[in-house]
Amino acid sequence: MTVKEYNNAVREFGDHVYRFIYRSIRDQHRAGDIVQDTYEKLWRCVTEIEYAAVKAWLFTSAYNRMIDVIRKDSRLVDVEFYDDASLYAEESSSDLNEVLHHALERLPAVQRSVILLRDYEGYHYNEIADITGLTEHQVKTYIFRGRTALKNYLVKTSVWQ
Amino acid sequence: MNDDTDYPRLAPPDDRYPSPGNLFRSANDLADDQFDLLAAAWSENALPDDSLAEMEALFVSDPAKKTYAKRFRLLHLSPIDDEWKGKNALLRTRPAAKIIRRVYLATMAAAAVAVVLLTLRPFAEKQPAIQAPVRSPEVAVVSEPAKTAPLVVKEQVPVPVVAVTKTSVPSEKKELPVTEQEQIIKINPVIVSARTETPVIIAEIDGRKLLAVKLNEIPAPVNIPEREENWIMKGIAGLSRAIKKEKTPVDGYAFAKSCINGINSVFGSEMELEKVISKNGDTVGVTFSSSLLSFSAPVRKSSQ
Repeated sequence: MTVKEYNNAVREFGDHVYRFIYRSIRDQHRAGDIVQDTYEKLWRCVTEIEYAAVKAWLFTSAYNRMIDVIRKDSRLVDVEFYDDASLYAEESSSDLNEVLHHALERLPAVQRSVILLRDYEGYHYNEIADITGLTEHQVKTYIFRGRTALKNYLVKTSVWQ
Repeated sequence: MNDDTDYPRLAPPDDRYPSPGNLFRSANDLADDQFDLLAAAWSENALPDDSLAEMEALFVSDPAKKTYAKRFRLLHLSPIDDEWKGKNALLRTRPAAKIIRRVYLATMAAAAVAVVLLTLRPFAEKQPAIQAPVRSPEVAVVSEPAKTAPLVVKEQVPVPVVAVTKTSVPSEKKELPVTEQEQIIKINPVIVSARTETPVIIAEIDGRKLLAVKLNEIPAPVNIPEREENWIMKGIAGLSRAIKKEKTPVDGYAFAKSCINGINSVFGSEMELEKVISKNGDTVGVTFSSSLLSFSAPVRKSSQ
């Protein structure tokens, strides 16, 4: 990959990787740090990576870095620690997409990531499996369970009648 | 002992589950959670062919379930416009581009400094001329020279001379009488100054025709143009008007300040341009300081 291609990768995929990480961990500073680390890592091996594969490489590297951060940081909690009753009561937005993003925050990190990769980036199951290190069957299971959880959230917030 | 037939073996008895029919299930027997998972998969076209066929059959028997499953297609997230602000900081430049960029920035910085200096230079040059006291130590005006007087040339005659005819001419000497109009000073017949720019020839003077003038009555030179705009300011003003389509005056200080701030941000230098403000709140000058150059320049009121 040339310097020009590297810069193209920054311009073209920088926002995509950032919003994937940011929506996964809901922390702007940490998301920015993770994306920056990812691109620094890419720059160190810029000559070894083909431009055609750089997007998947960026998402894979950023995802792994994010998992490391999540494991090290106890502040990033999963859905299991939320009090559902209090969270459902605070919802008042009528924008479905916004409500879905609120619901997304309640999902476990893995479900959140695979749904983001599926919906935001349009990756296929096998591509998501490559990025996350899961099997394709696991990816499907996480996605379908995540969708069901989103639906249940909408039901409890009376958005899904 | 190597043959399996050597071991005694149990033959399975012909036992049957008494009611196998109770264990069979149809799609209608799926629990809600199970159906939700299938509906989620169906909404993403991820069901295998056999499962898809069963779902289609179920939808035929119960159209409400199809409507219900279709709503899962609404559960897809659309990206929110999350922009990464640190993106530009990661852009890399090629060596050639880096050289071009540095040359360009250095040129722009030099141009900005030149603009600052050229913008402030007229102010710095004009201001002392206005405020400095009028000095004309060897000026004297003669009513009319005497034709028969012998000429004597001297240099640097220490005797001060002040004489004024009907037109007021500046002069300064503390020895001058300032109150008595009739007081007349005798002067030497002829004085030729050594200064070439103000040669004064004084012939035989009738001292009674000379009048003394108070120093504070001497007017300042009036040959300074009221407003002198250099071509840079005119150009900037014209450009500003062309862009903004407004007839607004250009603030030279603000322009110079922004140029210097830009240079500081690009090169990390520590140049400063500050206004000097009087007690009345008027801007009386500007000071520029950097590691290489420092100066102060007064500012005309008309340029504020």
